[in-house]
Amino acid sequence: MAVVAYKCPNCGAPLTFSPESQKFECSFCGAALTEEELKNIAPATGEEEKIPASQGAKDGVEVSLYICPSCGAQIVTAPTTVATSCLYCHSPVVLEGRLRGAFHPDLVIPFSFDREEAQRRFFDWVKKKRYIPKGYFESGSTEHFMGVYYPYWVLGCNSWAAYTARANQVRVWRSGRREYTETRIYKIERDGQIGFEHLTRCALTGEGNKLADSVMPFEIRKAIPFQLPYLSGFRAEMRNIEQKSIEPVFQEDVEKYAQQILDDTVQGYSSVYDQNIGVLIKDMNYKYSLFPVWAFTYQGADGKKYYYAMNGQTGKTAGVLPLDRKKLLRDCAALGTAIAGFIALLGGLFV
Amino acid sequence: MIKQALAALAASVVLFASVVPALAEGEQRVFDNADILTDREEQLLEESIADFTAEYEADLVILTERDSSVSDPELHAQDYYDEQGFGVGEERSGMILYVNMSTREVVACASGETKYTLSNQRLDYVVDAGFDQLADGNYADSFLAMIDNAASWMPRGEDPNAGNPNHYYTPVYEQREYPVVFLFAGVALGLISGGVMYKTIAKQYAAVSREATYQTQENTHLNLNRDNDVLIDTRMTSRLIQNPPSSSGGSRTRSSGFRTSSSGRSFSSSRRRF
Ligand SMILES: [Zn+2]
Ligand SMILES: [Zn+2]
Repeated sequence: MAVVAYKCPNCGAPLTFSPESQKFECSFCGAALTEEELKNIAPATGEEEKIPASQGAKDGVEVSLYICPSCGAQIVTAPTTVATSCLYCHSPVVLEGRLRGAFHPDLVIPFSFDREEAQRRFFDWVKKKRYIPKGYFESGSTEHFMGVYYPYWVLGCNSWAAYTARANQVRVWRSGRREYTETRIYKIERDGQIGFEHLTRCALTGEGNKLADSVMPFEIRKAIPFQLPYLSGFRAEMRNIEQKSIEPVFQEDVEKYAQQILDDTVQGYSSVYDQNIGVLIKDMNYKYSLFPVWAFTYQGADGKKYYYAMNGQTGKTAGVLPLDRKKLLRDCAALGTAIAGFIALLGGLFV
Repeated sequence: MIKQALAALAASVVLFASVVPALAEGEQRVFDNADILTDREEQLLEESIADFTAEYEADLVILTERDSSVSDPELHAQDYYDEQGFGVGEERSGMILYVNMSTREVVACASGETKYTLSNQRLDYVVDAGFDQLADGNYADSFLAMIDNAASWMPRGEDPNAGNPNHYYTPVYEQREYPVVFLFAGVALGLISGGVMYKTIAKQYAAVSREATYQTQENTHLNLNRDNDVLIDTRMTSRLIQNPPSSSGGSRTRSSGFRTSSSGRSFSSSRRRF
């Protein structure tokens, strides 16, 4: 059974995960099942179809063929897809065969709001942005609005950090008609252990990678052990970046955050500079996870396309925004003029 | 021939006498009771004063003291000038610069004909000229600057506003021109802040991600084994504050142009704290 489809025990229609009720619902008869109840029902299954190598590399894109457990049609998928829906009967299918062994996710965060809510949140968000051209997000349309479980690596680790820096303490006072400035220069030394939890990076290469990283953070404390049915009704991707390729990225993250953390321990100075840090990472503990992302494009009336991603758990949105340069320029000019005017008036006090 | 020679000699003596100050050679004009000047500096000032007197037929006296009991330094300086019998000619023309190190006040007063030339307002400029050095403790330089400034007014003759109560308290700053530097600074800062705002917002809109993608506070735990802040150097710098004279000036409460000393003679004056 390489393909599974969850069916309603009452009517046989497909069951999908509903973010609203956090249950598995039948869109036909309205039945709603919990995760427990679903466990007792055997899903419909289908097989992977062996395809000739020549056909497998169509236009340089690797594809795989599966048989839909509902209607028997062929389902064509990208090699990293682990959940999708049948093109003919629209039944959700989960490609269980790709989630076995090392590719079995440890954690999943189910979607916490549905597509309508995601759209509403997006339009609310862009409405608050002052420098988006007026009416831009009313004139065009969203396309390919999809709920996607993206693969992420989540890392917990310990680190030893040795940190040195210089810091200045500046004191200014007046005596008579003179202003005195005293600068005290300190050598800062910090050594210690920093424990990291929930460092996260998208584990899929390609266009979506940057957007998928940008919608972080996820509230990983709320993640649950992975269960197949959560993917039903959504698209899901499996990882194509392995631990050893992601390690240098995490190494950089750890160094960056370690410096931030240690910078924060240097308090009471007017400036901190010449920071130097050495970090040794140990006790790495990786968790392979699937986290929810609403992905879509927006095509404006001017034909331009913008790509957006929204955290399916928290609603945080990432993506480039169209900019009304004229309006921004006008506001900047107003600010500049106000400041220039204020300082010029200040000069008037000395006339 | 001899007659002619005698006449020439007499003429040259008369000429010489008119150039040499009316006061006798070696008469003291610098009274450094506060002991803030070196002997060499006193000598320099005496020479300077002699030049001033010779050129403008006006006396010039410098008095320094450490006396915290002096509540009216102008009156004090004027009385000193009167009592010591300073001044050139019938009108006893001349000026006195008085510095009290205890109260840290500086006063310039002018008497006789000189008070019409060195009016209150012009004396303000005289004090201004030496104020910074005075505040910095460069006393000799300060006095020299004040003498120089006083000398610069002397050829201009009478101040048309001297003794006029309507003009006397014209605050110094009203005479000043608008500091153009503010205009330039305003334009420059306006351009910079407008530019920074534009760049910042344009960059925000063009960025895929605008907020932090990792919460260090919630997800990390720090355990420090070493936590040292060691002082390795201390550096001191100082600069002069360029205040407008109006804000550093002493308070004035008088309403008439000249004020009179204890003996009833009238003086122009300027007073300032340093
Ligand atoms: Zn049903
Ligand atoms: Zn089908």
